[in-house]
Amino acid sequence: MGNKPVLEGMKKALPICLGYFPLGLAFGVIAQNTGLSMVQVGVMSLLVFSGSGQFIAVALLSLGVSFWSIIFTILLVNSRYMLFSASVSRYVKKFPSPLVALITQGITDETFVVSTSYFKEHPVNKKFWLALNITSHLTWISSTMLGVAVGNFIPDMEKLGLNFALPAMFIALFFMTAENKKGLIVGALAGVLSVLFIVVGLKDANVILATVIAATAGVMVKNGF
Amino acid sequence: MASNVMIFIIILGLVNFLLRFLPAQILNKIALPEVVEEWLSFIPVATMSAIVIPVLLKTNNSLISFSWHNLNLLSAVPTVIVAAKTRNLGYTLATGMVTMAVLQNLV
Repeated sequence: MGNKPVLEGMKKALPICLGYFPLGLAFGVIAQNTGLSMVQVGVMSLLVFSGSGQFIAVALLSLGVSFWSIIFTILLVNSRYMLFSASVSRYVKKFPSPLVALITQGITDETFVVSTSYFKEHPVNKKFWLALNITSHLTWISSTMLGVAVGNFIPDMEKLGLNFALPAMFIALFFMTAENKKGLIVGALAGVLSVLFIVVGLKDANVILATVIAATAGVMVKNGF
Repeated sequence: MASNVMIFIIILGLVNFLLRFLPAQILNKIALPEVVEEWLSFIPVATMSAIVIPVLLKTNNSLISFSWHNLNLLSAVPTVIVAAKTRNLGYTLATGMVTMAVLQNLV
């Protein structure tokens, strides 16, 4: 019936939420230690909705870095969202701008990969997409706010394996997006380049530089250069 | 100070919104050349790898560590196997977190 795509979207969001929950909790605890209030954390999670971006923002805030340099750093770190946004442009052609805005606000590494792999096998469906994004987003907002609330009461996160939630999620996303051997090779190249850029000191721009170079190399090889 | 932080958070939110919204909104009006579509198809896999590989190699003491003390790298081994075999987010996450928890409690 009409709600089937909604349920399907929520179902696909479940593993994402499983990863966001410990991450969000950890973020809330750290943000609280930095002096952010529950409302500030809630608004940040609503508007920024970016695990890596928010962790970096709070880390830099606690170091006393100026607001504008933090904003510039996050712009670099999250510039990958521009590329994700560009690649979903083909799916939103028939949507009005407000709907495009609502859907794209929910783009994260995780929702992007899950939605685009779904649309490879199913027709594009706005209800599915919104349900997936909003379920993930609400989980993120509530878990980060909960983190502020429980603050110091939380037991040692490392002993629970929670600190590996994020890397595990990216490992899964890597294999979900590596469609073929060429994808794996481009991915491997990006990983090596990323480490290299960090070693030479480009630790804010490493992800975007490595991604752009590896993808360009992939296209060049594909076209026989 | 508190209101300053709120303004900062809102500007940060706006920046992220524009990053996410503008390319989709502008590019959906035009047909991209095939080579650009191809290029975009490599973006996700490259991004995931560029994010995670440095995390797996890094320890508190060094940027690149291939030692038995690097629990991230150790935990990655079964996680990668499960991810490659199942391509399932839930199974991979469970494998990674359980492995890490076991290793943390051993050392």
